[in-house]
Amino acid sequence: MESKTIVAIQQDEETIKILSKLGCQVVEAGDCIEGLRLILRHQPILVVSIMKMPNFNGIAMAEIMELFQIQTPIIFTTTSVKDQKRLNDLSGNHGFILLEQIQSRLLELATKKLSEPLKPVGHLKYMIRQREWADLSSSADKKRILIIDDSAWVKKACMMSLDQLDSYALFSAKDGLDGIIKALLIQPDLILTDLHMPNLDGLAMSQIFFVLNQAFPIVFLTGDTNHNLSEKTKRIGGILGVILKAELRNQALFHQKIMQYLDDSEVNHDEIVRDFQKGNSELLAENEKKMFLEGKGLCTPGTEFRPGTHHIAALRKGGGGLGDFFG
Amino acid sequence: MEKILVIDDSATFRNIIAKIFAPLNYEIIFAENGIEGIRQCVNHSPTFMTVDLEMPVLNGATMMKILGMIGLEVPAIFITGDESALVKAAKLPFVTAAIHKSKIKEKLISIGQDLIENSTNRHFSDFKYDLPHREFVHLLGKRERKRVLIVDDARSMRAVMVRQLEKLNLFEVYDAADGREGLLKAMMIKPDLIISDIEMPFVNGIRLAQILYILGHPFPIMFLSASEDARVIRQAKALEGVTHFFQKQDVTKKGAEFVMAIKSQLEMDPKKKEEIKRKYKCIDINKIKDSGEMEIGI
Repeated sequence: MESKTIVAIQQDEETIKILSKLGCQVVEAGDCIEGLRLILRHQPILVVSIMKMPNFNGIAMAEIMELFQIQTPIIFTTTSVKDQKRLNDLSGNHGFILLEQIQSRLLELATKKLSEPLKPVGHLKYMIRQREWADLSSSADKKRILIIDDSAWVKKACMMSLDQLDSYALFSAKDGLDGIIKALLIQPDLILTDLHMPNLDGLAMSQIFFVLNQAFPIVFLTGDTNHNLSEKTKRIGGILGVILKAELRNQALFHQKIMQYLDDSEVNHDEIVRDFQKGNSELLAENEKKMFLEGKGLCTPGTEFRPGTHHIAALRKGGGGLGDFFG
Repeated sequence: MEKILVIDDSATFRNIIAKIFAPLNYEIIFAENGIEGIRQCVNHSPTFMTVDLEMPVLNGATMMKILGMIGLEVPAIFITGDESALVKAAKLPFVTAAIHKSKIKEKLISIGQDLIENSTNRHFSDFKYDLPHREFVHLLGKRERKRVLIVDDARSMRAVMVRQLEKLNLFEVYDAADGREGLLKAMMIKPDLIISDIEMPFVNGIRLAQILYILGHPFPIMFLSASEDARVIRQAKALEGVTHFFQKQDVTKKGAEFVMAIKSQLEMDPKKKEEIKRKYKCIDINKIKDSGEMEIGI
């Protein structure tokens, strides 16, 4: 079996035919969510993707790839020369081609991209607390809860409160990015996360989990009593609900809520998994204007392109991001 | 909930110790042997523990060594009936004190109090985890393929196997450079199959399998070895979870056969899997004994 793969997202038969001349297996995806999932699955040497898509477009996909230091070059196909400037916001070595040039130039461009060396990526160096380590080593069937909050105080309050029950394995992370890595490593049964955090906030994190097809049940923890979060987010299956920070003071109530959410996630498990599997980008659109999708990346075609408002852009400015995790 | 773990093979002795600690108002949990002791440590993270030095099959010193291998540091008070072992035992890592069986009534409670006062809130010391980017990307995606973990201290051997298996595009391949890393990685990624070398420094393949058994993780293991030593092979096969044995020199020579062996492991009958799981749940201390070389003296 051929090991080298090219992922083609929303490309016509002609394009696929051209790509197959490169001697690689070509895997096709219908949209960028499916595309990103295939990229993770196949770790291809090249991606050829449509740039504009409703709800979750090629640029957004590229940004998430950058967030995770995936260096595979992408050749974007589009109808307008103007779209080329969007590439400036990506740091990767990507290419750009107009639909009418595909016949004449694609093969040449792809060959060129494939010949350019990729920057090597270091190892992920990650610290795990000893207590968490013990819980990971344990073969006892304790439910795992991951608590994500940038406030050490709130995190500690949650942990100490739940620790009294002595029935859960508790893990913690300091922001959305840290939360993503830890969740991937420990596979929690429930994530309890703050909404507003530096780097990557709770909603952005939940959306990335959705795009990655990582169906972790999520409960938001917020101090904001005016939120209408349940309305906005309940369409994504993994998001179970909200606990107010004030509710932490009433331990019995807090414990009861956590137990209820764990039960919910168990009862709805199959449905959540199915929902994630489908990866319907419309679910992201529901939240589009307010959250992660705001700004340049995940916007719909035709919307004006405004750099700098994006979470990941902010990350890059601060020098943060997963780059810090990779030594 | 703060806890004290009491490990002793004698029920009478366990009760005596529990009574001594009763005034401290901590929950007291027990273990009858070294394996149970390690599982209790991992499951409950006790504030401290008392360890009987002389236990059958897996003695106190060996137990501490295994805890050290998996990176868990629980302060321990050793209890022994052997005068000559007292001094040596006190020098083992993480051993706070060693006392003679006849002196526990006078000494144990005050040592326990000291440990509680000085306990740094369940000794949070961080553990560094190191993951190549390729493996990180595997973790990012949904778990759809089987996971294979390769443990070998020879870098070239590891590289060849990773490349060959990745090329098949059938499973996610992870690798570790020695038994200890293999152990840690196994607990993180929960592989469907471990392919391990036997001869490795510090934690060798047999130890790796033994520790996984002790912790209760039923990952199927396939050994890959250059050894033709009948004793090693017999020991390896005595272990629970070890399902296959492959000669190292055959990996390249009989490549197709090697891949077939991996595939057949991965397509194991669910009934058989359940049975292995069940066996790991209950503890048969003799399994460790048959596979030998675990015991260390002090």
